[in-house]
Amino acid sequence: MEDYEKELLADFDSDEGSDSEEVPVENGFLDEDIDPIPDSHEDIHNGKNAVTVVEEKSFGIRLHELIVNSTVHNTLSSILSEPNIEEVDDLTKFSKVFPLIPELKSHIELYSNEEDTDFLELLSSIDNGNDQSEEYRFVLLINELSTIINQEIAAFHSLVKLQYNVVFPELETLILNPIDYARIIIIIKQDLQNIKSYETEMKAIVSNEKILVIIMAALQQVKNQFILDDKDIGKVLDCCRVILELDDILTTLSTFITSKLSKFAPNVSAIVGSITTSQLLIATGSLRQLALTPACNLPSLGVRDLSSQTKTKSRTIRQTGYLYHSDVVKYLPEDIVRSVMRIISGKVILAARIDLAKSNADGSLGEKYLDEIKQKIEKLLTPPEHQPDKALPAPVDQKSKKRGGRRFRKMKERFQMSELRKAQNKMEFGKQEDSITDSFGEEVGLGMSRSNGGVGRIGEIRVNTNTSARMSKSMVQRLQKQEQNSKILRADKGIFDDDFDSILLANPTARNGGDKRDTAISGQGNSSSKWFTGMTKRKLQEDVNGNDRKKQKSE
Amino acid sequence: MGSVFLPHLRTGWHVDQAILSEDDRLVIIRFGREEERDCMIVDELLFRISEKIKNFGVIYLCNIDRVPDFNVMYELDSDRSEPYTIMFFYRNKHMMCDFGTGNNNKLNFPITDQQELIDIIETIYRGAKKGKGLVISPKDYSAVRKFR
Repeated sequence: MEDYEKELLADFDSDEGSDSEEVPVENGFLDEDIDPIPDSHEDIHNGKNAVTVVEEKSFGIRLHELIVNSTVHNTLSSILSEPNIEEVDDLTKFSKVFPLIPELKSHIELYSNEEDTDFLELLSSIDNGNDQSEEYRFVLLINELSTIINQEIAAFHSLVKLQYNVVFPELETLILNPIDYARIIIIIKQDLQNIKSYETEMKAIVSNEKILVIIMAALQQVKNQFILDDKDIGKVLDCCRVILELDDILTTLSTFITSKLSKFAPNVSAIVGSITTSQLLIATGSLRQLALTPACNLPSLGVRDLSSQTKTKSRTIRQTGYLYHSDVVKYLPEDIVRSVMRIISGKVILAARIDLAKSNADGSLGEKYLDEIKQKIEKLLTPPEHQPDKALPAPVDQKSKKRGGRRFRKMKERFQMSELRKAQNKMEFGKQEDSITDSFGEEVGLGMSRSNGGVGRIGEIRVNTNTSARMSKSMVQRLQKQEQNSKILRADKGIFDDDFDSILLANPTARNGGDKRDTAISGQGNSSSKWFTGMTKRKLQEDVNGNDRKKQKSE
Repeated sequence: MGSVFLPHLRTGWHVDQAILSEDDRLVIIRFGREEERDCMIVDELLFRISEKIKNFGVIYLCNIDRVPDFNVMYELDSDRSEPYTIMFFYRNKHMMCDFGTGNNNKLNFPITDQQELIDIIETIYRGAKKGKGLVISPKDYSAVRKFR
């Protein structure tokens, strides 16, 4: 505290000029109602009525200025930079919103009492084409205001903490909520000695356990308590009242916004709630714009920092915008958030179009959509059903019912051991076995294969015809065809000879009288008259050899 | 932890009844100590295949400390480095299987693959159906690492 005072004193000279520019707007207003206690609304209204119409009209402008200014300045730092903080009697003047509260309230009352503004709205929306009536703009403005009020509450909270610290330092750690903190200070003031007597009053604010802790801490504190004088404690209490007043106006604002939005966009607010609805409306500009926005763009509205990926809260979800922070999505597990946002954004756009058409003013369709969305979320949240392991069939070998047929039997016969081979493997009792020597010089016994054949025709072993090479039907047909063709060709004899192996070269001049000779050529046979006789010769030889071999075999 | 759901045989009588009761299914009994690591691993493996093979085999677990009746007959507790023994029975007959390990009476080497174990059980079942007492394992386990 002392350090702070010194700092202030040091800043005293330098900051005097710079801060004065922020104050005058409020000072002009504060001249009329210095009374910080909010109960005297009647007075304020009376006072305001006396004010000129010009000032009344400038309310919206002032509100707008306030918003613009507040986005730049930090409230607490501007309060603390006030030079003679010790001498200021009325700390409430540091609040920029506080003086506007009465007017705000009257405006809210004005707008909330307007039941049938639909016609006017319709007119205005036709006029400017932006769907922005006076009332609508006021709603948007108020929405901005709420953040400023929150800032101011925080600022006054810290101001109270600084001053009340000497009385009861532990209270600020026990009660973290600024509103409850202010209320408790108003109740107990600095009467720590008799804190127990305030127990029932405190019960309305905090839980029994908390009260017990507070009482214990307070009784401990009594010994080294610093008693503030009446003026100082009065300041503290004033600050607390400002906090409560600000909180009050905040709730009023939010209920107002909710009621207004439920009128502007009943279906949308039924789905995502009034806060998100207002955020979406502000981000898009108007209900018409929201209805025109593609559903896929909705989740990315209100993303804080698109350029930097590091700042986003979650790793898997990029689009942490207004929709991500809405009540429906907020508490869902991350792996379904993406699909849930997709579902919701589709429905929100539909609802926005319904709202724009004003076909469903009571928001029942929005609620229906919300039910649908919740059902879908339920479905997404249910774990996949566990599939039990399928039992394998018992590995029983069953004999195949198929036994083959003629074709299969023939096929089997072809690979069977031949009768001849079987006979070769048998030995005749009491006789010497015939044997031959094969090409490797090994002796191969012939067994009974010879002897049976020798005995007589009846017991003779036939050669297995099944094993002989066979031709398919089509192959036989093809060969026959070719044979016929070759016959035809042979009939009109060209320069080729009978076998098409060689070309006949005859002297054309000799032809006339050479019929005799021609026959002589053909009659001479295959060998002498042809040029290309080599192949034919070899073929003939092979044929002869083959025949010989066959003869050998049959022997 | 699924292996706790497999039926545990508490006494020698239970073991006998388990072997006798099945008519056309293989009875697979794991003898061992559940508290040992390798035994736990194979128990889990057995549990995982138990549902798949229920058409031709049923799996029981038996703690050799609680049921010492078979320790001598089946040479169960002779080797300390052997944390478990899996034995196969079919209609009160002990089924042997040539794993290539030298001991055809039981499966006492580490096995971790579900399909391999299913294949072994199927082979033994096929052999048992044909009335054989000894079957040859589909895979040779002579090169498999022994327990430490």
